Order: sequence, then structure tokens, then C-alpha cells
Amino acid sequence: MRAIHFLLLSPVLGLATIFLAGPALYVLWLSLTVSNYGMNAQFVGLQNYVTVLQDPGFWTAVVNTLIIVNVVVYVELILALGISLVVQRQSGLMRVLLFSAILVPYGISDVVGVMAWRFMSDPNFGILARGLASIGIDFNWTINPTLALILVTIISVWHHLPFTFVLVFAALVSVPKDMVEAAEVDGAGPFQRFWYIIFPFIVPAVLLAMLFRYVFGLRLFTEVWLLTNGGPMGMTEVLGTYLYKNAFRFGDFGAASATGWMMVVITLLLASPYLVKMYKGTFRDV
Amino acid sequence: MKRTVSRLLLAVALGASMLTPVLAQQFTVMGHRVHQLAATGTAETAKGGDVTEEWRKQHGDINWMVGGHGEIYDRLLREAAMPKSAISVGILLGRAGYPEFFENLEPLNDYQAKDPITNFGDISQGMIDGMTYDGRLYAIPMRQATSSLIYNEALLKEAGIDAPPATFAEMVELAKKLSHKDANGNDVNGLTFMFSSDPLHPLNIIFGFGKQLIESDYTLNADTPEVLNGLKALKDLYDSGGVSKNILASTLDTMIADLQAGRAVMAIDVPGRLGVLNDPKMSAYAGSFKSVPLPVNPNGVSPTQTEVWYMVIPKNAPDKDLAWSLIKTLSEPEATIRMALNSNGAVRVSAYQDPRVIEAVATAAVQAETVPMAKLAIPGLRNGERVSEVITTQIGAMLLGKFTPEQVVENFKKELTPLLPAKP
Repeated sequence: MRAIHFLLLSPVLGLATIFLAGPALYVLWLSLTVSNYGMNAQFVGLQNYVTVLQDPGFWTAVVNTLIIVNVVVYVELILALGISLVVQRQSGLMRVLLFSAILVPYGISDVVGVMAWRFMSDPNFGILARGLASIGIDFNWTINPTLALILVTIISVWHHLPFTFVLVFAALVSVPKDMVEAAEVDGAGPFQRFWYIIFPFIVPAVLLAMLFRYVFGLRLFTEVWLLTNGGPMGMTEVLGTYLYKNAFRFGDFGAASATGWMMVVITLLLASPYLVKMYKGTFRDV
Repeated sequence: MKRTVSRLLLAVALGASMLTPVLAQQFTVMGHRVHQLAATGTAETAKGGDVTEEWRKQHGDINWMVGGHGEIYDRLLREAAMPKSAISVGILLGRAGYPEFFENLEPLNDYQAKDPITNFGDISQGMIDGMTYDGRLYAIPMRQATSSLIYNEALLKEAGIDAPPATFAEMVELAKKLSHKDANGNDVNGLTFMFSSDPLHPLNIIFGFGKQLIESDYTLNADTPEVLNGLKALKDLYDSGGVSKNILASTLDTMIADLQAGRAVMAIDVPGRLGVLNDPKMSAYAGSFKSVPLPVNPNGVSPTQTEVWYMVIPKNAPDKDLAWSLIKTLSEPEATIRMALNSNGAVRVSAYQDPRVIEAVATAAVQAETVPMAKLAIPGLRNGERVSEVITTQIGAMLLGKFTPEQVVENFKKELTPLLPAKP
């Protein structure tokens, strides 16, 4: 690479450094300090990391986050794939209507969506909770952390399904029809056509959707914050709410920054298999 | 190119040099938007006019910097670390006031002695105590939100009860008695309050049995029969259906919705909430809601708690005399009345006896009774939010059966003691 290449790339590299690396490094520095509102940061080494790792609340948040994210990512993928196959078979107005209906949740603001679900599932008067109660299911998520986490998962899937759907659907319609038809002529059944022809084509899109959803999912915040505030007894805490409370409720920016960096590490660990797979897939033939 | 860059730099330098004196000359007040609206009377419903008008004619415009409590607190403290603050008057919540924080504020005793606020004794002593440390007064109350008992008169009469309870213990028993299922099969609870993120109202119930969990001098009363009785009453209310099983997730919105729909009969909340509860467009029981001071505790005292916003002068403020003159202007009896007409929670009892306020503010009589006796729910603490979290979590665990009231007392002692400062 010649100097002119670096020169031409330098504006982009400069912007990336200022807007991405800069804040990240500042948060890294904060994570090594004790810092409260109005207090000048004092260097304490890795003390914040030790404190956070020794806090049972942090581990509750890690476990809850990992459970929710894994369920959300795979449920979303299965639903997106199924719905995409259904929509692909439609044509004309029906296809447009279905496509629009599926995209609607993505156009609704997080807060409005969560509040609507909260009212629908209110154990006293919510249509959902009362419907379940009429068939003998007590869905009081306000006193049962497991039910609260299930509700958080349902809302998260509902809200983000359109994102996964769009990626998977786009990949699905780009599968060459002649190959599918050739397989059909050769006697391949629907499952064989999907597994041996269609699926290998859409794998990169599926991996991309998984990667993005893992990254977004680990930042889960609104659903938990507006539904349970992390309670009762901190049992529904996730990493996003744990970080927020430390930073903006307790004013402990050091612990919050340490949590932020640990979230980055967890995200990279979770995403690395997919990143490696995508990298190999992309550059295999280069 | 070189010439263009030089000109650009020169222009920036000139612009900055012209702007700096302007910024330096501004008299800046940092507070919440509601303070600006109350002082300037710019809200649509305001009837008190601009209380700062005369002051501004004499001293020049006020630069209002508004934000949430956290932002105000953060900014004030960051500026405190600088040689000179750009903020002349800060307005912040009482929970921000704690001994280390007071070191950044100007003591106001001398200003009050030299140029006194008229009829200072009219302001609630509990509010003054909340910002007095080691004999020095650091802040002047400006706005309050004080708890009361709100009840649905129609539902009380339906149950054959003519008057709200006279004592706190009676209130708890009544809440249990009033709980039932209505004709549609909906649960109706005797009492409701906010709980999901703030322990203010559960603390109010504890106070209802004789003692605050944390006194204004940071005394922790966890290990007292009064606090234990308060915790037992909360557990009893929860187990007997006196409060909803969903109380742990109760927010302001759900509390209002429950009252408006008749799913709750009584509530611990500010009297100002009557407006929305009695609104015929939103409430199934419009006109039925009334407010009275909280019933008395075993000591014969109404366990009224409050959240108060205070005016302070940073120690490194640029013009402290001018800052005091504005604080004094906003604290005078007539200014308090006019700000009450601008929807401010007045900190002077006399404001609620003014005919203009009585006409405009439906709960004036109740507030006249509650404001003088109000105490801060939690005194100012550096770890105030952590203290709140501990209290909320422990009481929540008790309600769900994870801990007994006795265990919660022990946990309070263990977890709250390190968070409280040594008593002065």
C-alpha cells in the first residue's frame, strides 16, 4: 500500500478514531478510576473490575442476559425463517400486506411498545393476563422473576423480529430459482431442496443476523427497565440495567465503565465464532 | 490556502474573545424546568405572573439552565472543583444535601442575618432542618411535594364508611377491610402507593408506626419496635390483599390508573394528584377523590414525608450578594403565593391561607396542614440512591416471603449502616 492510500483513507480513519476509539478509550480510563458526580477521577487500577466481579448482582445480570439473548436470537431466527418461507410463497397484494404487517413492530418506539405490552399483561386488568387466567394460567410477572424474564423475552422477540426477517427474507429471494427448479426436476423433496440448495445460500445472512442480534441483544435495557426496573430483589437485572444503575443512579462511573468493558468482552466472545466463520466465508476465495 | 486558514483562525479567536465576556456577565440559575415555570409564570395555566420581573428590571436578565436532578447535581459539583463557578444559584433536591456536599456551598446564615427573608419562621422547620448542618443553613426551600392520604369517598361510602381513618393503624385495618372483588371480578385493594423504584411510600408506612427508618441526623432506627411494627404492617397488608399483589411493580401511572378505575380505594400520594383523579375525562370516579393529612401515628403525629427542592449558592459563585437577592425575592411571602398560583408546591404555610390560592388550588387546606409537619423521607446522603435500593430490595423480598420482618431489620442494620455517614 502506498502513502497516497493512507492519505486518502486518513479522514475516515481520523473520524473512526475520534468517534469510536476515543470514547471507548475514555471509558476504559474511567473503568480504572473512582469517579462520582463532581468528583475528579482517581486512579485505582483494576479495583472496579474486582468489585463488579465480586458483586452477586452482576452475575445475576450476566446469567439473565445470556439466557434472554440466546433464547431471543434463536427464536427470532426460527420465526424469521418460517415467516420468510411463507411470505416468499405469496405474491401481489398479499405479499405486500404480510411484509408490511411483519415490519410494524420495528416502527413502534421501544417505550410505546413496552408500555403497551405492560398494560396488556397487567395481572389485574391486562387482556393477556386475564385471558391466560381464564384457562387457569397465573401469569403474575410482577412477583415472579421467571415470568418477568419470559415476558421480557417475548417483547424483545416481537420488537426485533422484523430486523432478522428482513435479512433472512432478502437472502431467501436471492436464491437462484433455476437451481431450486433443477433440484425439483431431479426429484428432491421440499426438505431436501431447502436443506441442500436454499439453506447453504442463506447461511451468510443468517450468520449476519445472529451476529447483529447478539450484539444488540446484549445491550437489552428498555424492556427490563420499563417492566420491572430489575426487580423484584434484583432478580430480573440484565447487564444494561446493571450498568445504567451504577452510572446514573448510584453515580459510580468507575463500576459502570468496568461493566461496559466487560460487556464488550462478552460480546466479542459470543460473536467471535460467527466473525471467524464470516471472515473465512468472505475471504476464502480471495 | 495558508491565508484562508489564518483568516479562519483569526475569526474564531475574535468570536471567542467577544463571546467570553457575554457569558461571564450572565447571571445563571440552574434548576429544573418546573422551577423556571413557577418563577416566571410562563406555563399556560399559570396565574401568578412573572415573580422575577422586578428583580430583572433592577439587575438584568436571568440565564436559566434547566435539566434533571442528576444533571443539576453533576454540573454544580463539577463547577465546584473550578476556581470560579458560572452558576450563581442552583436549585436541587434535598436528597443531594450531605456533609461533604455542603463544603461546596455558601452558608446562608450571615446573608439571612444581614438581609433577612420576611417571616422566615413560616417556612416548614422540617425542611429547614434538612439543609442545616453543624448549625449552619446551606439552602432555602423553594418547592415541595408532600404526602397525604387520598381516598375515594364514593367507594368508602359504598362500604358503609363515612370518614377517612383517624390513626395510621386504623388505616391499615381499613385497607384490609376494603379489599374485595367487584361485580366484574376485578380485585379492589384498600390501599395503593408507588413502589417500583422508590421507597418513599413504604417508608411512610413505617413512619406511620412511630419512627422514621432514618432520621434527619442519620440515626438508623432499624432496631426499634416501631420500625419492626411498620414492616409487619406492610407484610400484613400484602398478605391480606390490603395492597395489590402487584405493588412491587407499582408506578405513578399504574397507581393513577388503579385509582381512576376504582381498583384501589385509598392512596398515599401528594394532594396535587386530585386534579387528574377527579378529571371526568379520565376518571370513573371524578369528583369522588378527597385528600387529608396522613392519619396520626402512635405518637399522635401525622407521619407526613416530603421531597423538597432547595436554592443554594455555590461557594465559588461569581456574585453571591446578587444570588442571595434573587433567593430572597423568590422566598418572600408574596412571591411564594404567586409561585403557588403558577402550580408550585409552596413551602410557606401562609401561602395556602391566601384567598387567591384557596380559590385556585383545590387542596390548599390540606397542604396548609401537611407542609408544616413534613419531614424528609431520607436525609441528604452521598449514597442516597444505594440506600433507596437497599430499602426497596429488602422490603420487596419480605413481601414475597424471602425474609421475615425480623430478618429485614437485621439486613437493614448490616447493609445500611456502612452507607450512612457518622452522626455529627
